[in-house]
Amino acid sequence: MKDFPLISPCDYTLKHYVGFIQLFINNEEHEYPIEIKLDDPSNIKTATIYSEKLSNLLEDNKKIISQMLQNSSDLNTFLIDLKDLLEKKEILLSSKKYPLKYISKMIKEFDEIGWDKISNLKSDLHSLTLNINDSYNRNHKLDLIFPYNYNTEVIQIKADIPEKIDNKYFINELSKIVDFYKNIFDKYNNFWSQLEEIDKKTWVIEPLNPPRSSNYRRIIIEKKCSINIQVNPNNPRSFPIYQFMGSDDLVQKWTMILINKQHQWNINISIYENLKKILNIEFPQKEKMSLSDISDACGICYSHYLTIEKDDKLEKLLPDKQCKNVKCSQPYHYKCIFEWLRSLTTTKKSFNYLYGKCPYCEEMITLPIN
Amino acid sequence: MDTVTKRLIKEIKNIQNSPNEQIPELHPISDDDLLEWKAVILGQEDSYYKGGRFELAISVPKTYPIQPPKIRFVTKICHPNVHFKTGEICLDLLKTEWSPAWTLQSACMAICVLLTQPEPSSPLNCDAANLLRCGDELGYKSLIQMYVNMYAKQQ
Ligand SMILES: [Zn+2]
Ligand SMILES: [Zn+2]
Repeated sequence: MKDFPLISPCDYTLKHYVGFIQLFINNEEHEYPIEIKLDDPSNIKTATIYSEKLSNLLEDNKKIISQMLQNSSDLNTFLIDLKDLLEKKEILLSSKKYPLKYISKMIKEFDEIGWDKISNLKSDLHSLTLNINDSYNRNHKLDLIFPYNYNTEVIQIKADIPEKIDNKYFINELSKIVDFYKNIFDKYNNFWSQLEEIDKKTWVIEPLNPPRSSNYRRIIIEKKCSINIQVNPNNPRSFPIYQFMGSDDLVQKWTMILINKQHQWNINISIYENLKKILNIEFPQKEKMSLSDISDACGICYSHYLTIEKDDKLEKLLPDKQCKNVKCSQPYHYKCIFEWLRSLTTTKKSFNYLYGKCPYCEEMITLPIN
Repeated sequence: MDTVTKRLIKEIKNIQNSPNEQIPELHPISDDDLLEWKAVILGQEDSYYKGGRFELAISVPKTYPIQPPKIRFVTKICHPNVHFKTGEICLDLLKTEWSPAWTLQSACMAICVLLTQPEPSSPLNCDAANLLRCGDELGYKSLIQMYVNMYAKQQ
């Protein structure tokens, strides 16, 4: 069989298969003898599974397995699901991290959530990922890290959402977690719809591959000008916080337009539609221009995007600092110009600000110390 | 990719797009290590270094371009601001006046300019500097040309 080379039919009737199923548990490979009998070889729903070594597991999961048989199209896909289930269960049952009482509680929780919603189950129950669908067809991943002390410590939960949640859940409360976060994900549907429309219909230069937690977008308006908008997650269609970036005259022009027409903002239509109407433009598409048409690279690292680490994640940032001298206007990444000014003996420091010379024109650059 | 590698790759592209005829060679010694470079600069036609071809060794620190590159002459050269034995160059740009606005190419061009416009007040080669300071143009010129003929003659 395609994914199970160790399982093969006994004869040409294709009613009887024998062989071994390989399970990977805690980085070790285990082989279990398995036998499959089909009343009707063309109908996977008529199959029965036998395995002496796995009999307990098969017996305990009878209901799930018969459900899997109902949902599978052929023997190969059924065995993939079965292997996945058996591996997860074996990892749980072989775990020495928690007493059996807790493990069986967790298994009940997993049964309720559905085993197919669980992935990345790490050996000895260190961590796992829950795949949760919201009511709007978005798939969300919830990363859980299990505590060492199950009595007093709670599960660490990492969710990709625009707020920090401090709820505490113990290891036997997994289905509660799913219910709670499903509601949270649904709550942000409108917020994500706004941003998804912007991502689809405009050229966003920052952030690249935005996580769902991100609430800002830097969008190209025209050559040498972009707008950075910050969407309120709790009131996504309201007038966003904004800042135009790019060459001085264009920034001034667009800021005036937006200020004068701000009263036309209509909360019944999307942010994208509002911006399009008020700025009266067709947003440029990525294919039509290159990044060098839009913005200059940083004068120190010579790159457009600088990768920095923020909250354990890698982010790619465009230059966000510019020399105030209009004849120079050299852009820099904050980090790059900060390193440079800090290395200069002539740089002055006062009240959390650095005052030093621009590497290109020697005019004063003022930089807040973060 | 780290910041210095990215920047050096951009510099290599810029050098390939607009090479400088004063600098017939400017590239990393091997593709595996972008921090060690070789450069060759030519003595300008209207200078005493005319006909000379000088090899430079460039060592780029990991903190480049915040820190300047280290550049020294590999070819022996007689110049008031170059140490005769080590090839060390005394040039403010490579020390206190460095800024990330400079590139390896523009730094090499600055060294070309230094060949025609020596700075005898900060000498690394006292013999040459003394001749220049005493106004002995002829002695200065013949000393330089002797070393150009000995070490830097173009094929
Ligand atoms: Zn930079
Ligand atoms: Zn400047």
